[in-house]
Amino acid sequence: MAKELYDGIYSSHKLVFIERIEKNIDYYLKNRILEVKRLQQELFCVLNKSSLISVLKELKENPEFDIQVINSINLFKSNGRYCLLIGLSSVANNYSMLLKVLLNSGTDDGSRQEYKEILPEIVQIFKAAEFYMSRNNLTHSYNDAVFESQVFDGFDSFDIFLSTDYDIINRAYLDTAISRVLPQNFNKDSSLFDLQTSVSRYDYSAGIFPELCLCLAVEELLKIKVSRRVQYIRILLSELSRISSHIYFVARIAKVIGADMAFNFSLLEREHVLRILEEITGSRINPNFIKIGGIKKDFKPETAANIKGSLSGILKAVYKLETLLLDNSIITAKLKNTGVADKDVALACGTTGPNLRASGVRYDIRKNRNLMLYKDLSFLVAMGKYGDCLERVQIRFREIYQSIKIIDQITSDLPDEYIKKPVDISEVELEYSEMISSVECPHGVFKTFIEMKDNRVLNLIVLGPSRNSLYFAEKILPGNRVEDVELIIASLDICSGELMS
Amino acid sequence: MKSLVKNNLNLFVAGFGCCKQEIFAASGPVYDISRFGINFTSIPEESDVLVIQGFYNKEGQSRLLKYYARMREPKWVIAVGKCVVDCNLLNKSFQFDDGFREIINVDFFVPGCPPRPEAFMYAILRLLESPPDY
Repeated sequence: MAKELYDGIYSSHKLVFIERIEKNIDYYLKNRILEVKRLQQELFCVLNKSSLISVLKELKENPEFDIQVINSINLFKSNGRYCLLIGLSSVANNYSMLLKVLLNSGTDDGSRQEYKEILPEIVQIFKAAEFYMSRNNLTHSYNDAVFESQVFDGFDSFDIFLSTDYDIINRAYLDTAISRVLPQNFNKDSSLFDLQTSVSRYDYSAGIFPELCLCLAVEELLKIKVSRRVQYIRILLSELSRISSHIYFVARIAKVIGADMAFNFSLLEREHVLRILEEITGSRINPNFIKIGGIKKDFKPETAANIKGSLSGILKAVYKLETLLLDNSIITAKLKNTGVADKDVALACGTTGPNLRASGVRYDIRKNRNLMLYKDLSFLVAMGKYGDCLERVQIRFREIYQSIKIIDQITSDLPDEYIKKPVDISEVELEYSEMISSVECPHGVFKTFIEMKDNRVLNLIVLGPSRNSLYFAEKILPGNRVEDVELIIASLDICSGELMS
Repeated sequence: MKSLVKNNLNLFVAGFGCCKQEIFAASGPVYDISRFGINFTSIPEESDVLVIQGFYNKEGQSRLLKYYARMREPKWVIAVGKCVVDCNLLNKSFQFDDGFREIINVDFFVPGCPPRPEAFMYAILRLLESPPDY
């Protein structure tokens, strides 16, 4: 009974359901799709460019699929052929899929031209694709105010172009030209070992999540089963990173508002969490701890007890921080009704994570897809209702409390198992294979698409949630005052590392 | 170093990357870099030290030059993190071009990926103790 109740409240991702969608794709799109397969808990389809538009229309309009969200569009080269990778998801039906579209052109310039030609057609079906088009509005002459990349963390990787009517914003455009630092051939034909050590830089405010995402993908490819103890330790580290990232978010909000005491207090608390992470992994920011088939080293016997002992202190401090920040009527008045977004806007922009949940959509892949062993742990998905800045701050505090609850459960009941050595990557032999993997990072759903052969990674495409948050910012900024721009963008928790590719 | 600058050193942190978190962590109460009279500023004209860190492309490099030109003398430069000290971890082919190196003379290098806040503070204190000629 309890289990049914549990499943009733939080719909778990059912593989049977994915199989049904797979069969439906076979039935409805038989002649238009070259290949369809299930990669972990996602669907992956290969198709030609000529059938792309009709497939997208079918996926959007057919109630069997009900796909309303486009998450990402990437141009990449796979096996000597240029392709588009389009990420789609259906929150109502609780599944997502990637379309690999084979382009006709064999040259760099030709593929870019094809990309430019096909985007307007995609925009007619999914409006959110306009973010990936080259926009003429991103010039100084068209706009009344331009905010170049700022010094403060979180505003440092994009320029903001605003068209205003006095101090009210009419239109906003965000340009990420400064943050596109990766070369085109990056992550192509690189060794898995190199990638494992550097991948955490893609989300440097919580570096454990890219590592986890990559390892989950490779483990699925190699069919490696990881012990319960390892999985619990991974969850524990993820939740500690989530707490650290959320406290850093609070610090940024406090800095923007001018609450210096809350800023200092949050940095102090973040240090406490970072020191626990450092004690376990040896590093504060980029842990390089999660390995394929295991972890770098096991806990010392006293570590779990030490973490458990420090939890009450963190809980009290976070509660104090929340009181300090949100019991202040001046601050709450500033945050309330600023940057309001309803759930339709949030969904249309492909936003995930706390920003989506603050608008009243219950979507957390820890629960929705039974990620790792989260199903064995008791916690609530923090939910908002109004979708304003205040809600986005409150939801982070609630998530911190839930993370503390998860860590408490893990440290109380950590299975005592022998941990095998991680897999020797140099000996891996694998045919050409593709895999998708996703984790719930502090900013949203962090997804990677990987193509591998033996121990070489032919392609790694990082689909971070911050790009969707940028488009979300463009949509919610109009109607607000120019003075609130920094606050609204800070409340979306944009991580610059995810914008690099 | 003029005593006015020595007792009130303003830092301008350019670029984006993981090092920035550790640099700003130094302003927190645990490290409290402001007890040495060191502050972070967001206006190049007000700053004495340009801190270069993180990932750059050509656009980022040209902005860095603009910031440096806007700073008033005396001015110093500190390079923080492997991406600037050695080569960019995620883009090994990118190098600051020769024109950039001719204009900007880095006074202190802080290695690490990312360096700890203590390492960054050590470089700042070395700068206060014995500032290189500008």
